[in-house]
Amino acid sequence: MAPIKFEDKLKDKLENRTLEPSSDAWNTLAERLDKEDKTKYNTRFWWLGIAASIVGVILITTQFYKNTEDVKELPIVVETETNTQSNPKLNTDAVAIEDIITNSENEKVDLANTTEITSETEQNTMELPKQELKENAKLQLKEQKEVVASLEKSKEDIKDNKLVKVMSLEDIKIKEVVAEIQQLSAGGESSVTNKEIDSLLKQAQREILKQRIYNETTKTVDANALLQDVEVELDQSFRDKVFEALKSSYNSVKTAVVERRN
Amino acid sequence: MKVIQLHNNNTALLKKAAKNDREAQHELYKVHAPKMLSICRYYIKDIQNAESVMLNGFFKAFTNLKNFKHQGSFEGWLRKIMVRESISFIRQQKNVEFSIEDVTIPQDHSNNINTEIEVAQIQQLIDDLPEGYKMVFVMYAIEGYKHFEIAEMLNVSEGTSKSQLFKARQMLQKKIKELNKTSYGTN
Repeated sequence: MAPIKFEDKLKDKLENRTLEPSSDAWNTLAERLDKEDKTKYNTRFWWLGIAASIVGVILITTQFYKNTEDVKELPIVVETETNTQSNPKLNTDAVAIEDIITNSENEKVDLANTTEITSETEQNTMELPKQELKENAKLQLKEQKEVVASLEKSKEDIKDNKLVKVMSLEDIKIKEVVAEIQQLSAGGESSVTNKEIDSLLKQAQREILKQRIYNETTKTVDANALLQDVEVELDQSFRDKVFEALKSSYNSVKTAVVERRN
Repeated sequence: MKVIQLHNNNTALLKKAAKNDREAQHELYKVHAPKMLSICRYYIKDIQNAESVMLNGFFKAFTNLKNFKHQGSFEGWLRKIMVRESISFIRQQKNVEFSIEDVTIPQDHSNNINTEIEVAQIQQLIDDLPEGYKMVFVMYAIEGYKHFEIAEMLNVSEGTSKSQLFKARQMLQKKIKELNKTSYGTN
């Protein structure tokens, strides 16, 4: 026998050897592979879940931050609103004061007119000397001015002392009107006419309405009151138009009849 | 023509197996398992342990089949996996000691021994070797690894690998001689 390399012979013999694994070896391997697939699937699912939750969290946080930004912006808006709200208050106050002043001026004018009228009536009825009348008129004007000044003063006092809160506006107005009438009547009974009283009452009514519509304490406009006021105005205007139309038609008929007679 | 067809079939099977096609994996297993079990058996004395190591090797191969680049043969790739699995198994089971002795290794290591012995006897001789000798001998003489590769895989120096191989050979020669003596004696 020819000598051969021992290791080569070993290698050849071992290389040709095959060992058959046990029958359930593949089953165990397949089970392991199935488990691995499941875990892979699960891990994939988990990763997907994690990714989805991250996306969700990002979305929520962005939404939240957006909201907070809005909230952050809101105070600015509120500030501006407060400014705008405070301005109207000031404006309304100013307007109210202006109204009061203009009204008082109107009153002055009205009163001046009335004094003139009264002075004229006095001229006609009592036949007083011109100088006396002039003096009377001056006195009345003085008195009226004093009344207006006192009114303004009282209004300012009321505002300053914040008596508005304690007393209702209507009471204040009534008192004001009564005081005005009393002061006017103090000048002479004949000088106080229905016209004056009506004008005073109308003014007072207007102011009360204004106050009802715009509440200064809450700084809100009563929508219902405003609507009612508008409706009333509309009704009034409509009514006036109808009356005017009737009046004009009546006048035209009247003139036609007169002309026919002639 | 037949070789090309076989290669194409093999690549198709590997692609299917990479996509977790259990049937394709089973086909690959049926083809390669007997050889792979034999390789594991070189290193591991107990056949059941060798089988479990082989299954581990197949499991790793199938789960990482996407990483197989089809540059070499699938069998070669699988073989490497089996060797590594076997080595790691032995290391887990025992603390393998490699004796670090300076041994003068003769250049010609051919032996004129009567090698008319059976495979089972060869396996028995290998099994009787100490773990360190056995691993280096199987890797060098049967698997065809170079010393630097063995040194890298076993995490030892090349010198250690060479000395381990020399000692393994000496031990095997001695044992074969004894075996021949007894066989001749019986005959």
